[in-house]
Amino acid sequence: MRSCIFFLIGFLATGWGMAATLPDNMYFRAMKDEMQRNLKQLRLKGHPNPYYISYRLEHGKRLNIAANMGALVPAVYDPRDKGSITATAFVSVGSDKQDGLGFSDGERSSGLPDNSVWPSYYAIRQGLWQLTDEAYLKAVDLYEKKMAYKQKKNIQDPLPSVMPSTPAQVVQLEEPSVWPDVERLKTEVEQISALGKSLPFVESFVANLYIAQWNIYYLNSRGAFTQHAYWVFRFSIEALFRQTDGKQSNKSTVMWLPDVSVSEMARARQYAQDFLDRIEQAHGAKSGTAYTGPVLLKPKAAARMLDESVLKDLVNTKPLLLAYTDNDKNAGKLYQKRSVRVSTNLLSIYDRPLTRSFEGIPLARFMPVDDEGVAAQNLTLIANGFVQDFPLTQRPLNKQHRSNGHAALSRIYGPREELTNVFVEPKEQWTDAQMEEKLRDHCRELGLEYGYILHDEDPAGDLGIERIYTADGRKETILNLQWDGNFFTQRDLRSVLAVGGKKELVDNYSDVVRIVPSILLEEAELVPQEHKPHRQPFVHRPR
Amino acid sequence: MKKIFLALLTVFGSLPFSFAQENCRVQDERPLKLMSAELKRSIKTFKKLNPPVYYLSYTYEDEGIQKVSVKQDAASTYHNQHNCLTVLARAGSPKMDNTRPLKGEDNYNRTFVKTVCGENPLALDTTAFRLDMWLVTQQIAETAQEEFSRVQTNSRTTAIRQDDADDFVVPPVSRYCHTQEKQSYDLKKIEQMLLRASALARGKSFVQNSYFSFQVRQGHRYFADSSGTQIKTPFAYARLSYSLQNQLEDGTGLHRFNSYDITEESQLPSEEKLLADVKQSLNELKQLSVAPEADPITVPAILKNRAMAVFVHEILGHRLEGHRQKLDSFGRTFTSKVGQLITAPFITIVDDATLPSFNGKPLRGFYEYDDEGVKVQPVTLVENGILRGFLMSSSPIKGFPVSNGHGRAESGKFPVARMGNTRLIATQTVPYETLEKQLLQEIRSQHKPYGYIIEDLSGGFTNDSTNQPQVFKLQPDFVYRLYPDGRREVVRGVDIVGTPLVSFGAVVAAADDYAIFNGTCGAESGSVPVSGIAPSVLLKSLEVEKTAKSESRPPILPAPYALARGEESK
Repeated sequence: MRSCIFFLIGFLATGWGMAATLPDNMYFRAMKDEMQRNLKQLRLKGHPNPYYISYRLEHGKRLNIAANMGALVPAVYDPRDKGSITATAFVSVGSDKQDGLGFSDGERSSGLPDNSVWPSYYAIRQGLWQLTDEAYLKAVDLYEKKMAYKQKKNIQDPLPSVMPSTPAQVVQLEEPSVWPDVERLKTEVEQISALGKSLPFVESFVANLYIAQWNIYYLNSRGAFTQHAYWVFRFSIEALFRQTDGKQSNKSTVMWLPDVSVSEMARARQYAQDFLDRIEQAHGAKSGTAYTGPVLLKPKAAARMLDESVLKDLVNTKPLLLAYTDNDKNAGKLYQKRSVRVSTNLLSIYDRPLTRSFEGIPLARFMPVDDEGVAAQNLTLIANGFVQDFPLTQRPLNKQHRSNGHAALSRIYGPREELTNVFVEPKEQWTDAQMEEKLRDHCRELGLEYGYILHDEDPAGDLGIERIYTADGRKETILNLQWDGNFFTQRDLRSVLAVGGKKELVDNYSDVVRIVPSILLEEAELVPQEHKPHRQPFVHRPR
Repeated sequence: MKKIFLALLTVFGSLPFSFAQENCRVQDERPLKLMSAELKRSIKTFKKLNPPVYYLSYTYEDEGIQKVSVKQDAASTYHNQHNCLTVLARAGSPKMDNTRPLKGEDNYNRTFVKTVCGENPLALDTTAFRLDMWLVTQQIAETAQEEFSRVQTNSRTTAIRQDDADDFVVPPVSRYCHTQEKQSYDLKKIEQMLLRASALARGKSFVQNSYFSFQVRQGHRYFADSSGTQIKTPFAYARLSYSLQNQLEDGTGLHRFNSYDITEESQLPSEEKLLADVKQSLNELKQLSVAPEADPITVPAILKNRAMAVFVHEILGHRLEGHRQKLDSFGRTFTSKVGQLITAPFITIVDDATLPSFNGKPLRGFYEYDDEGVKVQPVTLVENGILRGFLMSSSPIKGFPVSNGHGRAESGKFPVARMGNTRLIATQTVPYETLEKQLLQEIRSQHKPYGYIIEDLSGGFTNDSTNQPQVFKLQPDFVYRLYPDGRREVVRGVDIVGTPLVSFGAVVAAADDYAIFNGTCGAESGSVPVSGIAPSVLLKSLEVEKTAKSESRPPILPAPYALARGEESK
């Protein structure tokens, strides 16, 4: 289904000279024709002309199948439908030396134009026409405000707004794929959801299978283009269940699949059964009390810790010029710490946009070319605890600056430095059992009767918090306990005791995909959660 | 500000059942059997609670949707098959229950019903269906109890109600079963026809955007309540429609819309008819694009038949919805006017949702039983200009203690009194040509520079809250000025404004050219299909004002499709 034919067409620095190698399809024809028309004709008297335009089209064909307690629930997407295209247009006015990029006067996401277009030559052009017009007016507005702001603040920037890199031209065509047998999947999803009927205190058990095939088309006026595709196979469970004191809990879990073959769906079924087992263990489990001590963060919890402690500081490398605060608080804070030790030496962090899959699972942030048309590069972000590199765009940080192909187009701020597929690699390959043993060893040293294993990203755990006893390794689910409300910091990253060898794909559908192992933290605080019991149902659940 | 919107441009068309009659048995219908069994199991316990949950109803709809849409040279399809169960719970007693409006609070966001949806009704899993019913019933019963407590407190801490009618009258027990085969449509053929119609907009500089669509919604509705009512009725809505849009440099938005409501494929317009209509609409849009802008003025006017049907719906109909008459926050323009003359004596207005069609054309406001399980009845609202009654749901008002089958709601909403097929009947009529002559006479006798002919209304709103003026505003789509010398001129940017009593008192003559509008009406119980039937009427005076314009400029370059030449897509 996902075998690929690769055509690396090469790198050219000529503008429209690449037309001969541009893929001949409806998407590129529409983008090219509309781009040429706008570059030539889009003018607002007395204002600067557009000098750079980029277009990105994401055509998704999607299917979702969901069932609750053995009965299908309405599908949001139907495979018979042709799907729609999400279009993005970016326009710059001025010149590379001085344009409106990297500036904001406080505009937020409200009022963004509809960017959904239909799959045909004229429908795509129609969508791009409207988006280009809006983007041009916005670019003119920002450019002029930026000039006024720089004058007011007497900002003399020796660097140009953009230092163009070589335009990349990469096409990775997929063999035509056959959509899976929907009727079989419906039956399987229905059957998986029926597992929920086996426990009398489970009131809802929704199994949801989401399949999407995304085709990406990118073109910019410097001559860069790319076309590639990827699949998403997501299986999730959402359960509503009642604890013995009547309290209702709503919990969900997600797994990513390489495909939806019979064997993978069998794995999904087992995943659902394991989740149901956790619910059964949680029913009637005891409540926890305040705890301070070592905790083992399973991959989902570890991903949250990494997000908060380090990943958020590795993006948005170059600060924006903000007219409303004078200070970009969201800019990555690690840029000034190149070669500085920021974490334990037990792990290294990489960003790999060129990696297509993990354990057979297609990665959603695979990206041969970034949103500025620059060939993406794999990066070593943190090596054995030391900061090595950052995602960079064509917005220069210094005179030696070169983009490493990590621009992601924000509809509000234009291209910004972003991460793609983040891999966290351990120095040593500890197994799950060894990680638990290390947790118990540390508890023993501290004289603790037990430690905790945190499974979920959600800090309030009705299912996600497990107690492990120091003496015998026995485990039990603990209710009504949550992580302390403080966010993780870089200090936590330096108090890592061990990193597991088995990595897990945590989130394959957000801005940043993370492939993360378990992490043993020297110390974390867990506090009792406010607990509100609830009356039992008026009428017992039907049998 | 409370507004009631009529969205004529939205969704589907109508309908169906020229031979509505019982043709199945409720005891053979599995959803009804399952719902009745769960109701029986629950209500015994619920009635003993404190406060008691004294009434429950279940509405189950299975619906299939098919849609083909065309923009420029692109076609898109949409398919969906689903079913939804809506549970309503009443706590307290019919005298005072959880559904009573709270004074001084936001009543729009209160919850009286809860819905759960599934797919594929034929493979309905009995256990899953029972679990859904049970879970949703528990949840909404708890909510009903909480809401009842709020009602009790609110009734003690706020001023007494002017109309102290009960909150609910339990509907009489009904059993009715009507089933209907699904209609099939050749969507591929329709898609090709729409693509050819869309191609007519190609190369037209005055068309910024166009949209062509065909949609079918059909299925069955099952209703059961704790009194023992069991009803199954079919529904089917099919509509082919299109809209053409342009925006002028000054921000004025222009559009033309047309729709064809059908009940079977053979009623679709022929391709020749559709293409001719699209050409006509394109011509009208072109005229509008170069038309002068209207100025505020009060002049005599003709409201053409479809426009008048919308006018009646919007200006009078919503104010005759029964449940509003006991809301102290409602303007109650007509509450105390029963038995009084409110419009010209040659006008009678009836809401008759039992009519499936009019002059051979389907009416989408047709239904057999309302969403509270009450058989629909024709209601005379105005007789020879005198107000006679109101549209009633199961929420009684002073002098009108029972429902006349107008408790309606979109799936998942709480039913209130709504219109069905609202029909204006004129007992004195003239041919339309004569009406235009009468308009000319009015213009001359009033020494006005011109009068207006309102061809079509696209929608509008009316304020009905006491803390707002009782005004309405309607948006005409296509309007002519008629000059004293008989010359016509298309104008743009017109809104109609006014107040209900003055506007209805201004009707002086009617034509015999009855026409239908089929639309979707939005109010607090959601979007429901409605129809209006009316002849053209002459109004002694009508106030118009400038319509709101967009602050955005139109795109700098012309639309790519407007520049396209030739027939083939690239």
